[in-house]
Amino acid sequence: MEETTEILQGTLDLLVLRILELQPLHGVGIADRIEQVTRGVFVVGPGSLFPALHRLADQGWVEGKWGELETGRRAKFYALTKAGRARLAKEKRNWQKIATAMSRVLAGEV
Amino acid sequence: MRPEDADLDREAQAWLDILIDRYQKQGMPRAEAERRARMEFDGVTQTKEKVREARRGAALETFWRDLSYGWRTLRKSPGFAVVAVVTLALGIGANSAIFSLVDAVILRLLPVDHPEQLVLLTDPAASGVDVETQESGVRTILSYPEFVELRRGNRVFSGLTAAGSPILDIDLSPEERGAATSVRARGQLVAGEYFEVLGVRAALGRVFTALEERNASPVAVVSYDFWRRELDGSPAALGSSVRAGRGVFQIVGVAPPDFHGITVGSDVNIWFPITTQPQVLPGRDYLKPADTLWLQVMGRLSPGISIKAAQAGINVTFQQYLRTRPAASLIDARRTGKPNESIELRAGARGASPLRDRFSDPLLLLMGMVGVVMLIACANLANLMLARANGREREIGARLALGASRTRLIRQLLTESLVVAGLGGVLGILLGAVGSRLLVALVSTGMSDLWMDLPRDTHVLLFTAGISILTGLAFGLAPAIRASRVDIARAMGASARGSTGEKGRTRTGRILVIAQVALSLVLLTGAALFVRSLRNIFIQPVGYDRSHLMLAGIDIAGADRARRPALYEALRERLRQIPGVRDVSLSNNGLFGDGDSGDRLTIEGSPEKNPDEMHTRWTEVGADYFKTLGVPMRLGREISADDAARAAQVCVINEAFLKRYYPDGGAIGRHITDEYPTTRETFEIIGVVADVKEHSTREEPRPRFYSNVAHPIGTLNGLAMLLRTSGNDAAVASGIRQAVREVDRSLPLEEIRTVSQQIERRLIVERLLAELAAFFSAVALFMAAIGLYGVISYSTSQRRGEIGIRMALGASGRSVMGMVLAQTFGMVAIGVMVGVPCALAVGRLFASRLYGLKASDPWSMAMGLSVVLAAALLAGYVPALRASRIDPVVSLRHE
Repeated sequence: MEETTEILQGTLDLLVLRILELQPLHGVGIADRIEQVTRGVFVVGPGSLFPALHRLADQGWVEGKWGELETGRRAKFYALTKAGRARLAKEKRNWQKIATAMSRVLAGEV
Repeated sequence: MRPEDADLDREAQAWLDILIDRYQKQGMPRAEAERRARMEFDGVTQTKEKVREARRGAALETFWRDLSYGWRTLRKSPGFAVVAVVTLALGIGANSAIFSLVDAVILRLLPVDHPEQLVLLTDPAASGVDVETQESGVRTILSYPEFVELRRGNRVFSGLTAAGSPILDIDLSPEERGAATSVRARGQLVAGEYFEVLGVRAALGRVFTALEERNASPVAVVSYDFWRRELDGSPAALGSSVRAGRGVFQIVGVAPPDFHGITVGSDVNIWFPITTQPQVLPGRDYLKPADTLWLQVMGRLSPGISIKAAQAGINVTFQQYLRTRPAASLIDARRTGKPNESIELRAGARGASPLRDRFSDPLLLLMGMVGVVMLIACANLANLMLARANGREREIGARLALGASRTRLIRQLLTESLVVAGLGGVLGILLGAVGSRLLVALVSTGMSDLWMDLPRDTHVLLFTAGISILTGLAFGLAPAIRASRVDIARAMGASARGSTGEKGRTRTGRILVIAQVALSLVLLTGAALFVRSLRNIFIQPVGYDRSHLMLAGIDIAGADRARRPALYEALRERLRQIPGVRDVSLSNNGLFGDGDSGDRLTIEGSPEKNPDEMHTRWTEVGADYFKTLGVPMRLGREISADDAARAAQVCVINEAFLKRYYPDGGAIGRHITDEYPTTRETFEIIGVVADVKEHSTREEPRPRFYSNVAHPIGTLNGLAMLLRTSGNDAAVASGIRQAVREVDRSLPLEEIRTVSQQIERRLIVERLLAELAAFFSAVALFMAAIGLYGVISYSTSQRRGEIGIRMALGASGRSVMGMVLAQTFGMVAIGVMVGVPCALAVGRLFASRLYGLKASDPWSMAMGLSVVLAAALLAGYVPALRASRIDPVVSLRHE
């Protein structure tokens, strides 16, 4: 757990959108996937993921639907909407710009 | 709990359950797993709250964004915005103006402590000083001795108080500055515990005490407005003295700003202890006679006592008192052998008001009328919004294509109509404030002492805000929903204009316009009915020439009784010398005033023997009364100057009296005796006169005798001089003032009016209804015409291509014009077909208010119809003319 990093403000939304781009998932699934793909760098608890999902839903970027898990439990599955896809594309470009700029600064091209 | 919240709870629970499952599978005990899961959630409740908070914030943000978007789009089309806002402001203003009157007259509670505990022991509508009435049954008004007894015997009220129902017009002059200046003020005599029972505390100084009533202390409380206006709002006013009548009163307190007394529709400037009446109103005695009824009596219910129990309790006291009262037992004993008078309690929270009875129905009728105006305004706006939404089809289509949800779009369009509604509401409040003042001014031409506390409270504001929002939703919702159903592909297509979807839009528009035509027809017909009814009332013959007839009221309470006959003759003599005055007489009640007199009587030589059947109205008149009016004598002669000088006990009867009591004739020389409770007066009949109308143009002939005013029945405090003139009214009026001053400087001259003005005053309710109905229906018609014009010009602009082709194929401008006009009248015809039965049905609602015509009066209907048709012609003509001038080449190229 010491290895985990505070998620940057705004990054969480991008992460969630990206994860959901591949397939609809429920909350716990999304958290697991984030931990898995960032190799444990980011660990998102339900305390922040739950509000984040609702924020995205209110913006119309994701859509929640009740579904069933393999265990038979019911859970809400979130999927990307059309507007969400457009948003993700935009966020990706933004992120690329920021990342390039940041790494240039950090690499010492001052 | 809202559905979203329930869903949120379920979702959080499902989430928790999955985590708990997982930890249990890892080997944790159930309790431990649950604790761990909850910990990860950072507190389930807080997390859920975070979501809700974000949602509220977002909703607010969206609302602001929509609001500013709506504002921007409106600014882009100022023409639309102005028409919409003005239409709405007219509708809202009319509603708010009428509502503020409804509020002031009908709804508002007195600004006192716990008004709901107050009850009136008298009729809220009763007013004036009543000395002639023989009371029986439920009492409408009480005398001072009665009030004193009720207060003494009271066991059911925590307090009982009384206020004189006439609001007095008095001259106040400040004691210090000498008699140099005096102001006209409205005063009221009230019981000592008046303010205390109402729970009204002085804003400055103190209020009266019961002791001050007992001692008749010369003290006074002034109203806040009066203090600010006439006493410079200075604290030094406390302790200063004013002269009123024959007394000098020390001002001891100032009432709170919102308190104007318990009588709605009247303003009181100064209150005196009731027992100072002989000083305030010298020459009369209202305090001792038990049959001088002039008090409104109000009580505050003791805690735990119902209005029913209180009524039973106070009536026990009242009956005990009645049994000890000689005058009452005299009349009642003759009639039934026991006193049959009682007191009925009525809710007093809204105070007393002679206005309320007369005006509440007409006001509600007007409220209905302005409601219809509002409906028409809404229809108009819906039409405008529809047209606009259509013009924005592309924009809306684009937004839908970009993924905007339908609800989101509807919300946005609705916000826009709410912006219009809000602007209209603000303007409407201003218009309403002006309008309500105009209304009060209109009403007060008929009631000189009318005063109304117009909206200083929040009722009217809330009402206006409420209808603004409601109308915003009403005219915005349908167009918004329609607009959101745009077919994206078609809207984005190049040839969106003039294609099939337009039909739906014009159909909705047409239905709205048809409704507007129908509603305005209802209003117009109603207005025509009221106007014609007013005219009917007004033109009723009264039995004499009522033009060139003037009335001047004189207060003679202070004049020496023995000298009065000489005074009357002196006044007649002097007034006759005014240039332009031909004849002068006088009477006790004047013409078309508020008072009339009636009594039981005994009639000598009449075949009618049943004493219960013998009663009549009477008027006390001076010499030459019928000559002045110009009414022919049927038999005998009228009261002469000689009779007046001798105070002869003679009288004239009218034809109705003759027919009723002397059907076989032989009245002249007989005697009739007026049976007033305390006095009996016998008069010899010297003449018979034609029946005339003296109090209402609608009255039926009733038995009446005219006695010699020089030999009065009971006490006489005021009289009216009656002048037949041939000159200029204003010149005669100033002549009257001068003449009265010359005869006796101390005689208070009251208002001078022509009889026509006096009749108009009596018809204030009818005039109010007729004038406002006419005004509101004109507003409604104007809106309907705008709507009609809008729909017709829109549809002709849509048909430019088609019209161009027709013209290219040889159709003349005239035939195109005919075609457009036919379309206009097609809509109007449907509107009329719907409107006529509605108008008939609505007319039946107020049939009882109509005089001399039925609710189905064909002339009124014809007037309504012709005005609607004329307006339709006007509204359709301009677009028709424009259509007829279409250049086929231009229009086809455009297509």
